[in-house]
Order: sequence, then C-alpha cells, then structure tokens
Amino acid sequence: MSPLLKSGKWVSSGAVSSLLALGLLVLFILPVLAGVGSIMLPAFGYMPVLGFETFSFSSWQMLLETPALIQMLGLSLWTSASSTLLSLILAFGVICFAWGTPFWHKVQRWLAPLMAVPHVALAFGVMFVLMPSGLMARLIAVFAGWSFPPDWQTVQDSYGISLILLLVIKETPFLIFMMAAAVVQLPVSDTLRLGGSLGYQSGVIWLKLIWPRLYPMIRLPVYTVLAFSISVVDVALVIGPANPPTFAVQILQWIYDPDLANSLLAASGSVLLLLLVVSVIGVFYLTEWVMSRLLRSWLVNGHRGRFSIFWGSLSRKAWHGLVMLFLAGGSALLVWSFVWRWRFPSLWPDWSLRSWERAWDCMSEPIVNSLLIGVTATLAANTISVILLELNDFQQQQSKSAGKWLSLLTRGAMYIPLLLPQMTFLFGVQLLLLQWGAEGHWLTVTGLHLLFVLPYCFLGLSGPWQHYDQRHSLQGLLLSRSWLKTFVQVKLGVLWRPVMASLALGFAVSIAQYLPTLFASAGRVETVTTEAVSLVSGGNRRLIGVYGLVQMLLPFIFYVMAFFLSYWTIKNGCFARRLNS
Amino acid sequence: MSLILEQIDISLDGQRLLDKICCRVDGGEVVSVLGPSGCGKSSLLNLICGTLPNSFVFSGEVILEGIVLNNLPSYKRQVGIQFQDHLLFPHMTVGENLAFALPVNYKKSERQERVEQALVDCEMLGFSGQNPSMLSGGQKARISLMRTLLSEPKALLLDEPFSKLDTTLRSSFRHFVFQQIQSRRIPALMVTHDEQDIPDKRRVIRLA
Repeated sequence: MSPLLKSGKWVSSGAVSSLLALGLLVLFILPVLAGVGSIMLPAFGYMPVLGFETFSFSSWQMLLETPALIQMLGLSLWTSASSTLLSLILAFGVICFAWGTPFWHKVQRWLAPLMAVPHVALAFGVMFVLMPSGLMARLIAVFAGWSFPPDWQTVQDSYGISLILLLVIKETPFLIFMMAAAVVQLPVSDTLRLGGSLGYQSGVIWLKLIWPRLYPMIRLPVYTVLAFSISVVDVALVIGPANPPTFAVQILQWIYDPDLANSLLAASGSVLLLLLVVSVIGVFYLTEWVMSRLLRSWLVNGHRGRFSIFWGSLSRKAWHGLVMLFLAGGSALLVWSFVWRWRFPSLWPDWSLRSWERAWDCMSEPIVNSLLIGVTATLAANTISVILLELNDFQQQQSKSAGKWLSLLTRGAMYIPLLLPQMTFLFGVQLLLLQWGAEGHWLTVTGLHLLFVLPYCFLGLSGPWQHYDQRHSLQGLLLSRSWLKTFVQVKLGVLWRPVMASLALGFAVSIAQYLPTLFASAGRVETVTTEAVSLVSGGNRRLIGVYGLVQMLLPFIFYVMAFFLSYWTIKNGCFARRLNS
Repeated sequence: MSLILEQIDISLDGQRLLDKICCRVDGGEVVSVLGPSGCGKSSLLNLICGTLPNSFVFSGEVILEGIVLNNLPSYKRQVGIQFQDHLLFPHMTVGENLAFALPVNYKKSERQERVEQALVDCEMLGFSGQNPSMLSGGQKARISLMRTLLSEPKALLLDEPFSKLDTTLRSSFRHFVFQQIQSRRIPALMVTHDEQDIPDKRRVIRLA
C-alpha cells in the first residue's frame, strides 16, 4: 500500500509523484549537463572571463602538438582497462569460489572497511609499503643484507603498475559488493545443484550459467569503474606515473598553469577525455557483444571444466594479498605518523609525537570542513534517495509500466555523474561558478559532493527498498492510521540497517572527494583530502602519514557508529540490542 | 543399473532426521519417498546427489552401479535431478539448453542429432531455436526432463516434479516421465506429497 495513502484517501496521484521525481532528477542532472555544456565553448577558444572572445581551433592545435600526448592517452587507457579487467576477474573469482562457503563471510567482513577507506589515504599507505625504502624493501633487506634502498621504481613507475595495483585494491571490493547485490536476485543454489547434477564443476557453472545473467546486471558499475579509472586524478598524483603523467593529471596541471592560455588547452583536453571515456565504454560494449556471440558454441560444447580447485585457491590468495596490502598500508601510515627518524634498512624507527603536534594546528580547520561537508552531503543525499525511492514505489503501485520506466530513469540518472569523467564536467562547473561568483563557499562544495554521494546512497538503498514487503506498511497503516508513524516506526524500523550503512557509505564517499572540493572551493575551503594531496609535492612522509591516517579514520569512525546504531538502541536509559539486528 | 541406499542416517543439530534407511532401486524402477515437511526427504536427495550442507551429519552408504558415492563431488556422481521448477537457462535457446547437458565426447554433428532426437521424443520438434520463456508450463517441464536425461545419468532423482503443474498437465507429464525412466532403464527416486504421483504402491519409503 502506498505511503501517500492517508486515512484511506489518496492525497496525490501518480502524475504528481512522477513530476516530483522527475523534478528532483532534473535538479540533480542539471549541474552535470551544464558542466559538460560550459566546457564546450572554451574548448573552441571562447572564454570571455579570461579575455578569449573569438572561436578558434588553436587550443586543439596546441593539444595535438603536446609532447607525449599519445603516451599520456595510452597510459590512461592501459591503467584503466587493465585495472578494470583485473578487478572484474578478481571480484568474479572471489564471488564464484566463496559464495555459500564460510570464506564468503570473511570476505563480507572486509568489504566495508575496504570500500570506506579513501583512495588517497590508501594510495599513501600502499606507497609507504612499496616504495624503495618502504616496508617491503626493509623486510627484504633483513635477508638480502641491503644497506641502501634498491634502485627500483616501485611507485610512480612509468608503466603505471603501482597505479593499477591501487585501483585493483580499491575497485575489487566495490565490484564484489555490486555483484553480491545482483547475485541474490538469481537462483544460484538451484543452478549450482542442477549444474553439478549435469556433471559440471562449480567454477564452470558460474562461468557458463551464472555469469551470462549476472554481467548485464553489473554492466553499469563496471563502466563506472572504467570511467573512474580513466579520469582519476588524486590517486594518480600520489602513486601514478609522473613523466609523462596520465592524461587527467596533465589536464589538471594545465588548469592550474599560470599561463591563462593553458586554460583553453585544458578545456580541449577535458573534451578529449570525455571522448576517450565514451569511446572506451563503446569499445567495451562492442567487445561484450562480439564475445557473447563468439562464445555461444563454447557455452554448449559440453566441457565440464578442470582446475576449479586451482582457480579457487588462486582467487583466495589474491583476495588475501589484497587485504594484506590494505592492512600493511594502514599500518605504514600509522607508523610514519609517529616517526621521528627512520633510516634504511632499520625495521624499527625512532618515535616522536612531533608530526602530530605540528600537523594538529593546521588540521583542525580541514577536519571541521570535512565533517561539515560530509555530514551535510550525506544527510541530504539520504533524504533525497528515500524521497526518490518512495516516489518510485508509489508510481509502481499506481501503474506497473510507468513505475518501471520511472525506476529505470532514476537509476540511469544516478549513473550519469559516475560515468562521465569528473575532470570534464567539474571543470565546466568551475567555470560557471567563477562566472556567478559562487565558488569558495562550503555549501557550493557540498553541492558538488552531493553529485557523487547521492548516486552511491541511492544505489545502496534501492536493493533493500525493492525487497521491502509493502504489507508491513499496510498493516502499520491499518493499525496506526498515520502515514508518518507507519513510515518512521515500521518501514524505517525494518530498513534501519541499510539506512545506517548508507549514511556511513555517503560520508566515506564525501571524504574521498578531491576534484569537486578543489574546483568548488577556489582554495578557500580546505578538506583533509585536498590538504593530503597537496603534501605529495613536499614529500614529508611524517605529515603525509598523519593526514593519511586521519583521512582513513574519519570514515572508519562513521562506519563504527553506523554499525553500533544498526545493532543497538537506547531503551529506558540503557543500551539494548535491536530486535531486527 | 541399480541405486542402493545402505543404512542411511541423517542428523541435524543432534536431531535424527532419517534412521537407517535401506533401499535398492533397479533400472527402470521408481521408488517414491513420502512424508510430511521437514522429515528429511530433501536431505536424502541432497545426500545422494552430493549437496548435503556441512551442518548435517550422516552415516551409511550410497552405492550406484557398485560404486560408493559418499566421497565423490556432485559433478562426478552421474546422478541427475529434476526439480519442481523447470530451471531452464534463460540465456540459452531450447536447443542450447539440451545441448548443454550432453557429455563432451560427442562430435558437433552428433550433438545436433541428439538434441533433435530429444525434441522428437518430447514431441517438440521445431522448438530448438525458441526462447524458453515462450514455452508453456508443460513444455518447459518436458524440456527440463529431457535435458537431465541427455546428460546420461546413471540414476535420477525427482524432487516433487509434478507439484507445480495443473491437474491435466500433471497426469500427461507423469506418464511421460515414467515412460522415459522405463525405456532408459534408469533407477529413480521420487520425493512427493501426492499419493496419486506414486507409480508403484509397493515401492514406497514413508518417512515420519
């Protein structure tokens, strides 16, 4: 029964709910489209705010003449395609060999912390582990007898291997999370039983019977990962190749170049980046289409599979390696934040609180800003998500087909900011903010964060909302005769855990935002993330350790709070376990 | 061909579900298993096909053609299973669903022939390229059974195979299933709630 049913009378019709939902979606998409639109004019030489008032192709000419352009584009393509494919293979391997086993519970336990940790903090941690004087080299030095760090380029390597590794650590848990949400909608146990009775090994059953139905359900998250990896800047600045860098990093350098003519070059570069992302997604789609036709005969060739045990153990080892690297990275940040002096190859540093004392005075403002922006964006995103989901539910009850369309439209709209390269539309939004004089306010920064926080919260909540049994609300409504009471006490009560998880996820997404903060703040609103990235050029490992650790801890604290509130409540002044926990 | 259950005990959390079940099913025979919900019927099928969860404890032996199946993984047991849901794979055509079950040792042309023959056997010739979602309930059930039989199982388990069919379809499909089992001389064990499903009233295991 609809939540908008009040005392037996419809207070709204399907058309009004559709209009409301569409209005919200337009408000959400407008800045993204405006951002893309406003980058088009500067890309062709027109940027009156900087004194360029005639259209020309000169910036494209400059772009094509840029030294190492092909290498930069190639690096972006290589790092994004390989990290996406590796993450996809690893995520599928883990799901396929862990699903329904005790190992799956262990995987699930690690998903939240791995997804919550901001990219930049993880990049710093991994850098401290892999760099020539890092933890790994120190451990090897004990056995190899090294006195100096080896002459290896293990981070910021010119092939982007360290960047790929980091993206795999970060994107695999996200893809596992999305796959797990999709897998529960398929009859996996029955398919495994049936496949087994037909003589197929479980790995082959997953490949031949489950994957073809699973992939269409996770196609958009895969494209999101692909688009993100091509246009990622913050992580690439920390651990990616430096000379030449990936193309997105080069665009950022052009944007902040004192030579204003380079802004036009950056605009053209942003459009090229957009074309690159669209082309790569197109190529991925085409490859999927071709493969699905080529592999049709393979599906029914009768091969029951071999080496399932080998692949299972490989997936397990890869997952363990990924978690170990995450833990080692976190530990390295903690250690470096308390280091006074740590000569190579010593395993034990000289400890000091000096870095914390030095950082603390400058850190309070970024922390407060991060909290303020993060909490506001998270609350707004979750409120809007719940409104949209309720409107979708209502429309679904009014008319199944219209409800389906609205649901598809909402879902599609949520993916737009995730599929477009951040650099492209955020640069455009920055130009608009500059024209309107709206940059440099925390609310503007929060607004841009919302473009990324809202999709994750909405997508996280949409599964539980779909599975919610509406008869609970109907019962609540019949008994209480109050829509508000029913919604708060019954529906939110039943969906309390996903809502808490969504609040934690939203905050983690906000904390990790670098480009939206950089572009909307005009340097006046500093967050822990922007401050941390700015430390890269200084190379002070102790300060990086402090900032990285704080950046890692902020979302972690929210996750712990959300976890606690999911399971516990206060009754009569005492803590009591929630009944549906 | 024969399927032998010897002294089968199954317990869950210390509670005994099945107590010393003994039975021999010869090729072409159908032994029915009857009993109320939760009495262990599905657990018995899971034990035979090798998918009994680890939380269950069992003893006794499952023997198929003289081979003890207890320690074999499900894919090596050659035990086919027919569920009450047809479970046709929606990303494959009817013909591909059937071809999927065929053992690997057949050549491409032989695979094609066997699929065609299976379609003839279930009176559905011409349906090879059809999408499974376009079939009626009875057609889906027949294709599902033919798929199981094409995998050349040495024993067949039927898990309430008729319970989701309406009365008219039920009796014709029942006839079709028993005919196939007899003509192929496969031992079959069928779990059911309905006395009318039982082909041979003398071959029934009643569980309490």
